[in-house]
Amino acid sequence: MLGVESLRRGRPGRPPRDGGRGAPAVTAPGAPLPLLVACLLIAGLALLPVAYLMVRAVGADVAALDLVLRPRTFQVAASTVALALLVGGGTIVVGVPLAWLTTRTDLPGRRLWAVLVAVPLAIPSYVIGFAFIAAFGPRGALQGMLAPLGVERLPSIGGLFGATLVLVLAAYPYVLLSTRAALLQTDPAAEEAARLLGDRRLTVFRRVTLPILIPAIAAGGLLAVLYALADFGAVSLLQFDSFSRAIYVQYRASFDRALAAILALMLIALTLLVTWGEGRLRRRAGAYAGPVRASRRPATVVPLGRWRWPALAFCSTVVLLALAIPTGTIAWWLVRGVSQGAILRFAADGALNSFTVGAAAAIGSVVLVVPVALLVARYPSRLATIIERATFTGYALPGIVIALAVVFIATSSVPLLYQTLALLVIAYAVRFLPQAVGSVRTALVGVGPRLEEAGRTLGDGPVRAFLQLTLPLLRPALVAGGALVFLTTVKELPMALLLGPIGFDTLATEIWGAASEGFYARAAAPAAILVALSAGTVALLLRAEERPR
Amino acid sequence: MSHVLVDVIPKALQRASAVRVAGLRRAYGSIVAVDGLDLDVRPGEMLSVLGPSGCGKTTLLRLIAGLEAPDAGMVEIGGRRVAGAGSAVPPERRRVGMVFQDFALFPHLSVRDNIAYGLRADPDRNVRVRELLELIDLVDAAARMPHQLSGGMQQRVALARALAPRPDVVLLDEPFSNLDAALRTQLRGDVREILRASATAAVFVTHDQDEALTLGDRVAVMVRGRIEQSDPPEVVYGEPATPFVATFVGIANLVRAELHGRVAITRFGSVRLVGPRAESAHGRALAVIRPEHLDVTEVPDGPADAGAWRVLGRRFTGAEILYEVIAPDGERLWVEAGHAVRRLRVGDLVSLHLRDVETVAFPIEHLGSEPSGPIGVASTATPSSPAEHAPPPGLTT
Amino acid sequence: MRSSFPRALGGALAAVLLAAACGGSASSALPSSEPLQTSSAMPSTPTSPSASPSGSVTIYSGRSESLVGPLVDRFRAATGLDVKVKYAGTSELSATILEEGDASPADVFFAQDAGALGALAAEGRLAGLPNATLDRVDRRFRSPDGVWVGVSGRARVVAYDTRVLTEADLPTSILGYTDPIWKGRIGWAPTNGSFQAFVTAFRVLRGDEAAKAWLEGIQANEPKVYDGNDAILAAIAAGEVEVGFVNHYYLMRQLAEQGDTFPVRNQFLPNGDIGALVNVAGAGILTTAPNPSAAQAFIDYLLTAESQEYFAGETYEYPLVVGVPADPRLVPLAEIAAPDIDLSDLADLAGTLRLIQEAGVL
Repeated sequence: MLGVESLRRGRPGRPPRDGGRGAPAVTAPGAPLPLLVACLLIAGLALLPVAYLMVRAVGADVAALDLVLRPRTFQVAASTVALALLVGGGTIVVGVPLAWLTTRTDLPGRRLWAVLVAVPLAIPSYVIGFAFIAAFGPRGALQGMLAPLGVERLPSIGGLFGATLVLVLAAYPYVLLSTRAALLQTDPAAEEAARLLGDRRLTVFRRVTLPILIPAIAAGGLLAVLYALADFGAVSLLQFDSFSRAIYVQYRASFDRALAAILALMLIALTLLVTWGEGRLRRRAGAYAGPVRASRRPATVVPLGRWRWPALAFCSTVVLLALAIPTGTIAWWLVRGVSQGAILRFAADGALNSFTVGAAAAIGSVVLVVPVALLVARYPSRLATIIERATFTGYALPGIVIALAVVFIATSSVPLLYQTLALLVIAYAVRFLPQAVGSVRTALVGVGPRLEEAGRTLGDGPVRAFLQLTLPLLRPALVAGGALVFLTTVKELPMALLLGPIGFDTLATEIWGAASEGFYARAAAPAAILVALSAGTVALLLRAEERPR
Repeated sequence: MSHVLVDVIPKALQRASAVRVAGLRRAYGSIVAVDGLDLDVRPGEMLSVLGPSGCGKTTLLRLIAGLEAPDAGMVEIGGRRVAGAGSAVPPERRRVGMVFQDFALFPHLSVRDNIAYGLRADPDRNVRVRELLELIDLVDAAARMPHQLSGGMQQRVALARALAPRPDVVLLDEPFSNLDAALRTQLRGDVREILRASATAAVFVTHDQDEALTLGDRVAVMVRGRIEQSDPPEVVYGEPATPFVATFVGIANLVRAELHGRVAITRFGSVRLVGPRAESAHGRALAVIRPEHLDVTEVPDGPADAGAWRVLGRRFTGAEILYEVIAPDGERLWVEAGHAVRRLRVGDLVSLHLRDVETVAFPIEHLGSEPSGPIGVASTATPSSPAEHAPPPGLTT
Repeated sequence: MRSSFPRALGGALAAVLLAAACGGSASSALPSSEPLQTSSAMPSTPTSPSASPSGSVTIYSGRSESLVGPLVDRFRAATGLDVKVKYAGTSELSATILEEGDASPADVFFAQDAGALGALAAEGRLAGLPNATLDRVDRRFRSPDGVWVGVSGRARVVAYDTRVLTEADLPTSILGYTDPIWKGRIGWAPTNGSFQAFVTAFRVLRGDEAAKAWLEGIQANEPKVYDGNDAILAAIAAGEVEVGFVNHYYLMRQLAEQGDTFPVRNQFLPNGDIGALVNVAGAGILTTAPNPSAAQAFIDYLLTAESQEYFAGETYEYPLVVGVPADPRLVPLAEIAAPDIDLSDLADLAGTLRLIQEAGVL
């Protein structure tokens, strides 16, 4: 066993399976029963919305089915696929270069840029959407500036183009962060070898760095695409018919839960396709996905030379679009509101509630993610893969669907929990679990089982060995995963509205309450606090990432 | 495996050096990794750089390769200035091959594609790859991915990849440290032959003296960022330039002596001195007495002889047995006994007699201060496999 | 948090797995096929406005906190009740009430539009209101079944650009806008609830075919699509389109904010045209209300003259209680020749949506 392991360098933590080429076993070989049971329960929790949707879909009448099967539904499906592909591609095109520039080059102000380009993670897509319409709409601020030149109207930014743009700006940080983490962890020796073999830096990036980064890029792209699938704010503002908007329209206009359920199940099918694609990419690449590098020689810094200017222009453009315009819009709401005499309410309650629920959900997700990641990393099997995929099903569903599923399940089975903070936190922890899975799984593969084996020989039980030895090493990954969950929780709206205890205001519900009535000035204060709170979290996340394991 | 020191220095010195390094310096903050270092690698020569961990060996290789820029000094490769005095040729244009400590194979490329990586512009690429696959005897594994290879195979692929573009020099960074002992011994031979066959100059760094002595046409001993001695292996062993070299390469007892010209008087009697340092120096010195320089004779039981040494410990190495012995005055030495001598036990008394050998001695005033504590072997010296040393004639049985 | 979390999680797990196992039976427990009650049959939940309510009351409000909050505070002060309000979108709340089933904690549903109330009524989730409450409002603006009552009203109008059009240029019927001369000049918001209520009314009065023909006719004129009424008004002001189908009070807000120079005005379509539909925001009491008497007290409070004046002043909506005047700048409610329609029929938004989709608009 040890001899074989030593030959399979680069993959500690993975027991050899059929010489590395055969199909994985159906059941998890050697997975301890309690672990398996815990994972099955977590997967069961994550699949509950699917069960709910099936119950609802069965209630649909035949005419409704006709409606679902008409060409327009396929048109919506096609639009959604197009949006998913464009957002996936766009987030990679934006996120990967930013990750590289902020980790490997002498970009002036590199550390500042690293924070600035990650902060948009904190800004809800509906705020970016609002800001874009305000700035670039046919009669937006840009048109105002161009008016003296005779420009009376700009082309509409709605539709596929606008939705893609806004969602790319809202979701690229997922790709950025996972790619950054991978760049910080990969051994630069392979790149050095490539240079000695005659390649220039950019060629090395294309021929060596990029292929090695594929699993990380795919994992970040997956989160970005699922974010786009679930998003309602941006697509509704920008008038783009995706599945998520179609589902909302069913609830809003026709109160037809059955039809909405059928559409939601179709969206889940699409989600499964996307996660399957990512899994394939990762498996193909995973064969060589090395562990965290042993020697922590820092990668050599690439001097950009005259490329510094285009690089700075690129970073500035992204920060302008994804950060400056949205925060500028918030600030402008604030200023205009104050100048018109609006009274600002400082949302101390909302901020505290958002923080509490976000932190609790983050801790909950982290607690739930450890067994799942452990099973996937240590006992790979078809069952483990299914369990991991199961945790992703709810992630791409619009919040309203999850909220109603939880309403139904809670009122019919655990009425005592209904409209309690605990239920809201559990729902968030399960829904946003996928954001923590990737980083923790990667970290676990890197840590490997050796330390625990050492602990076992020194008299620790398996649980104690894990808690004492492996868990501390997972800390950066857990902090990173928890931070992502925190960020998405504090900006989430429909679940907070419907599942929160009565009178439980969060920053997001306060923004919604004010903005939906057009009181933008009143929305500005909680929005500003939300962005500030989240920016702090992003900084924490970046620090966790750069800390050596 | 016990051959090795057979090769003579190749027909060197007729062309420009493969690598020439002068006054090279590189510091990281207050830590000076390479400190005014000079080095010369002749065409086709294999130079081993031997030194303890952290002496700056890897930094030296990276400076030659262009992966780091020197603070001062210069590097020439094939007679061409590549670093220093204003020139800074990027690594991809230095015609340098490198084998990394953990091989750094491209994990996403097959064996064939790894080897072909540096041959993009070469029209005869397939022929060259085939040639190298044959050279490293991995024709059948051409389609495999790196993670499907054993450590030894990865090692050979890394070497073939580095050799493929026919570099002026190949740099090997601790190339065998990640392999187990048996594989290491075999691969040393393989690598040496492959490099010989390709007639490429090579510099490899190691902290393993056996590796350095076995593979190098010359051995450069490096410590604290400088080269202390750079000579053929048998010279480094037989005529160490400094006490550090003496104790780091092989096992050496540093024995107090009084210099009288080309002769040193030790407690064992007089011994002839060799080497450039054997001037007509006088005064106190430390003489290098290797374990094999002393004959061990058992003293029969009875009243302890005033000059007798007591056996403190024993180390069995296969071909011979090393004993640590202590004199009544507290001096400790390592001595060697072939299997012909009856196995001694701890506590046995022996007497030591200096054989008719030549050695070197270091005047104490040149050393700055007298070494403190009992003089003897360097504490770190571990005779991992003395069988690979070139045993002086007369000791082998 | 940390210590109670695993316990809560364990409980939730056990419960939800159970729920998943018997989800079918749980869903059939929803009272979906209960026959509708009529106002002539007395409501099953007796409510007595005279009994002074106590305890707590839970309101699900589809109208925003900024609007309803001050009213709730006054109501709380007046009655001493513990008033809890859940604010969210009207349709989200109606879906929530349907999912909650018998376990719903809500007493009152205060909805932005009659359609959502109709959807709950169709599922038998609204209890009958006493005649004393219903009679305060014109019968056009309450449920004929007596299960909900209108609180404030809004009229559909055509907003137009006063810089290029006068009222005389406009058709006197909404049907007139299918004329190709309006090509590229119309703005509308087909996802907007009020617009969909209007289409529903169209269907009810003229039949699905006519409604579909109208939708297709407008669609053929390549209207610009907006997210809501405010966006349409802004687009008219910016000269993007010349006319738009909106509710009356958005213009009132713009005039208040931007002054009379705002180049848009409302046209109230005459002669009982479908285009002049008046829809309402309304409230009803749930059959499952834990505290029906307090619920009744809240609805009665919404119908006091004080509350009605508040709505009229804050939102420029029409107060519905007889005798409370609207904003003087508005055409009085009584003078709007609104089409004669039972607003309860506007519950069939599902059919409307289908029609809108069939017409290729959505």
